[in-house]
Amino acid sequence: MRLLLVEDDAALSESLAEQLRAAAYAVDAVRDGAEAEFMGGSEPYDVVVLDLGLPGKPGLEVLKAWRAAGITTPVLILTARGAWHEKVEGFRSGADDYLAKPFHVEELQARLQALIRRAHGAPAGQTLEAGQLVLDEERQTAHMGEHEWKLTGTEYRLLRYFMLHPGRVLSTSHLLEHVYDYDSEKESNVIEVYIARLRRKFGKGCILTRRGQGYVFDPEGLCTP
Amino acid sequence: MHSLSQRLLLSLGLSLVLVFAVMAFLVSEQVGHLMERMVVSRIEHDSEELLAAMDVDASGHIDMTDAHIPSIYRRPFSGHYFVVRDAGQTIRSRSLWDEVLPAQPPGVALNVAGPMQQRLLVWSADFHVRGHTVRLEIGENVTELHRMADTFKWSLLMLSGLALLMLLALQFAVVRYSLRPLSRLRADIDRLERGEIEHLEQPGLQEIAPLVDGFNQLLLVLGQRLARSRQSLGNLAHALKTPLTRIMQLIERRAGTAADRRRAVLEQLGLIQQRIDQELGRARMAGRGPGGSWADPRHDLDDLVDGLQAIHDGRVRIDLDMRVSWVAADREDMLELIGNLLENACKWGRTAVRCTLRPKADEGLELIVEDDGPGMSDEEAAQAFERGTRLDEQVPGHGLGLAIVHDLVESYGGDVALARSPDLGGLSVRVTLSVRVTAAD
Repeated sequence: MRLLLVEDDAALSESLAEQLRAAAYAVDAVRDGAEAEFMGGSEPYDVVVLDLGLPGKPGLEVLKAWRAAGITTPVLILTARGAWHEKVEGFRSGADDYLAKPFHVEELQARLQALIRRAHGAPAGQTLEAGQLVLDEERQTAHMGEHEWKLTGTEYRLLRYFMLHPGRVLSTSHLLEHVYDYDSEKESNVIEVYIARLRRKFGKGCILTRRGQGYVFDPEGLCTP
Repeated sequence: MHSLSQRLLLSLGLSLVLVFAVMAFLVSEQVGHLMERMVVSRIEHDSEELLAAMDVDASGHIDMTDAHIPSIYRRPFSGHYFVVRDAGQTIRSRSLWDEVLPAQPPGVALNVAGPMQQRLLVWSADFHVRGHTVRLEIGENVTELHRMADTFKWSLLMLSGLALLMLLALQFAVVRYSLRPLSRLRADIDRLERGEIEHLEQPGLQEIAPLVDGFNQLLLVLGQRLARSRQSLGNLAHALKTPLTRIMQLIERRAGTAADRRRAVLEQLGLIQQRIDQELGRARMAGRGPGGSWADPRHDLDDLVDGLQAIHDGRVRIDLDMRVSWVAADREDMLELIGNLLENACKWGRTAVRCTLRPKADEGLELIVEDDGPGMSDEEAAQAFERGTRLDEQVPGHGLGLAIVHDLVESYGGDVALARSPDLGGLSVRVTLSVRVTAAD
């Protein structure tokens, strides 16, 4: 999941980015409103965390600009004052959720997961499921019945992205963009390597190759352990 | 800047001068006319006697019997003269002595030069006497009359001027007197700024009383707000010191395991956050005061409801029943009140929340937020608003919703009551505020 973190306080931004990366988000952190507007407009983010008090351009203006440009990425706003009129302005400008500072990172992660699922039309709940396979987002593991698989960071990110988009053709470059952050070294065969690993774990039929187009995740193709 | 007293004095003064000028002009004109008509009527009377004294014989020769001519026309330069003119003959009154009056056409001529530098009014008319046309011209010395009229005009002018000056002076005094409460008020405001007085005294003037009342009301509201912020700051500082001390001790003593200390510090930090939220919430309140206006509640609440429904992922449906279109209360206060109640209801409700805003039967606003959650026992309801209790602490996040609602309602002098919702079965919070509202169509 690509996540854009817009927060001007350096210490808070670094600490949040670190914790979100640990939760398997590919995080790009920016501290300036104008830069945020550019990044949000040019990179395919899956979710945005937006602070309202920003240098360069106020957070709400950035949000309005995105929405005016037709960018529908779910946005969670951080408000320092937690006043309701601010939240109403946020909703009006196109925010999908809000969180008042100070907050616990666990609360932020729960809200982000809920936002991403909502954006993908997945049912609300604590876990992400596809067919028999259940993804534990807290422990970054996958289950099927009693069996549990441990996953590396990239495996987890890739599997989560597939499980959120079952049945959709996803190209290698698309997967690269959503699994790695802006500054990562991206080599095209890295996706193939990880897909091979996932296939070894969950069966050849769960990720189909469409030649020249990309890959399709098929929950029916999961093999039982 | 205009001066009220200058404006009053100028307009009143100008109108007085105008009235007096017109009056003086009309009176002096009338005096001239009156004099002229008096003289003309006397001359007409004399003309009858002179005609009676006239005799014309068969050859057309005019003869005048002296005895019948009024004696005043016989005394030299008496100021009363006549001339009778015929085709070939001119008879002059003896009073003219050797002088002649210039011939006059029929009518009245004013200001004709007469003998001995006299100014004459000359009346002239044609008569038919035994078949002959005779012109009779009678002149009267009006020098003296003119002088008298002039004297009269002058004294009139002098008297008018004097009266005008006196009236202007009176007016000046009246204006100064009437405006004195204003200068007193200005002095009072100076004293207020210096802190010598707390509020303005009524100057006992009907026109200014509402102004002073409004000013005093504003002072009161500002004073209350100041007192509230001061109290909030004081409370906050006081409330923060206890948990801060505990944290310092926890760090210095290093008692227990690191995990225990971490948990204890987090607990104290949570307490600090709660206090800050509570006091900030209170300090942010505008409270009941002049100027509050929530212009488009429908628009705001629609957005709020959409946002909340989306956040709860369609689990709860919020039914908004809006029957007011304008509320005379601070918008931010109202959003804080309704936002907290709705968030609370969404947290506890299972599937349905209803929010009703309507005018109260007598004046005021009634707000009801209900849900289909578990509701509250009577005991819980009784404790709900007590300081420091956290009924909703099972659901993490915002423990202060109801406390802020309580403070807000209090600052508006309103009422809040908890009950079981008759329709939905969960908690029903009913808030009544005595603020003006406009009912929606």
